[in-house]
Amino acid sequence: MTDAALSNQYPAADIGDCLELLKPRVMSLAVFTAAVGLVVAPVPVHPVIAVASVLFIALGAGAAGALNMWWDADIDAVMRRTRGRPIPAGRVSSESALVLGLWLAGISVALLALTANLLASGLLAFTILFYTVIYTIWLKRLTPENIVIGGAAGAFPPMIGWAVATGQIGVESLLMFALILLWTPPHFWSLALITNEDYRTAGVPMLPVTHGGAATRNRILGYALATAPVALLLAFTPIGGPAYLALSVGLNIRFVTAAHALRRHGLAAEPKDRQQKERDFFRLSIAYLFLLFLGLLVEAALRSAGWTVSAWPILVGG
Amino acid sequence: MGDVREIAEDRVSSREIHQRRKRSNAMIGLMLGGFVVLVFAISVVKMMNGASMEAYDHVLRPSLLERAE
Repeated sequence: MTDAALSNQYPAADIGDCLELLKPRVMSLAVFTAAVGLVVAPVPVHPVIAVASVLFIALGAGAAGALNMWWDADIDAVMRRTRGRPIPAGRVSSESALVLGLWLAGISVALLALTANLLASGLLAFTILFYTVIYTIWLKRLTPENIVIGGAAGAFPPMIGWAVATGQIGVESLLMFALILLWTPPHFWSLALITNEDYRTAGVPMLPVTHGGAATRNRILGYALATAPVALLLAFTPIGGPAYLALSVGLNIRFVTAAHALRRHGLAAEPKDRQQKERDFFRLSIAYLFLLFLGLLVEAALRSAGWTVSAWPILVGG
Repeated sequence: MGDVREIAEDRVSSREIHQRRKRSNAMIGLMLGGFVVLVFAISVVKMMNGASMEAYDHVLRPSLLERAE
């Protein structure tokens, strides 16, 4: 029998497909926010330990992605956005994704415990478990609130990064967690508005499917309004400062006004125009979170350079 | 005629699969090498920072000895 015949079932599988199973885009958010959580923490970490820890957090996030693709292969096969993924496209078997996910989960959790500490490792294990079991297996197909609760999984990385450095959970890390938790629903619902028909076909009860576009836009505005105070409060913690505050004020005004415009626009515009607004909001939400965390990094750099405002009010943390 | 074409196609896809496997194996090799270097670097840093270097079994563990009065 030839190799071609032997490999007939999944002839096109290669290392790129395995990497795709890890959801590199989601992983990049986890890597960036975890790195920020680690760098802004008040305890310095050796660069080798920091890089290795972030790598293991990335592997953990990748494991969760692979397990998500394993469980959701039937949904992915129906949706246009996801039908090119390795499992529905027939390039990788779902069993391979399961094995890869489990191995990576075990390796990343064990190595983070050895490299950093048990708290960071435990948080990573909980994140993988939460994303796979609570969100993917349980909530996603059950309730339109799936992303509200499931968003916690994406909010843990800065907390893990903070725990790597300090071995503790601080008010600052809880605020970073809350920021991502509250940001996730408007970010994800704007995408769900765009891919509404796909979700309807797949039978996933996303908010636009169960409650319609108008209710979703209202909720997007509500969550944008709830996100802003948390983002602003971070300025008045030991990891914030005037530079972050200035950036945060500008970004939050933009985020809330965009959410308001999305709500107003959705009532009148043609479906095609609405989709453009939703796409714009989706992109804006990514930039919003990225720039806020970048602002925290800038503050950390300013602090290490000795450029601090001594009279800066610290309301929480420290 | 059909058989000849099938054999030719089979050979081409066999070659493609071999090339793809070679590429994948090289990538996996690089990753494993990187992993070894990373674990070595972590070990060096941990030892430099004074991490415990006691083994768990079959050796005397100073931390388990009773303290002298």
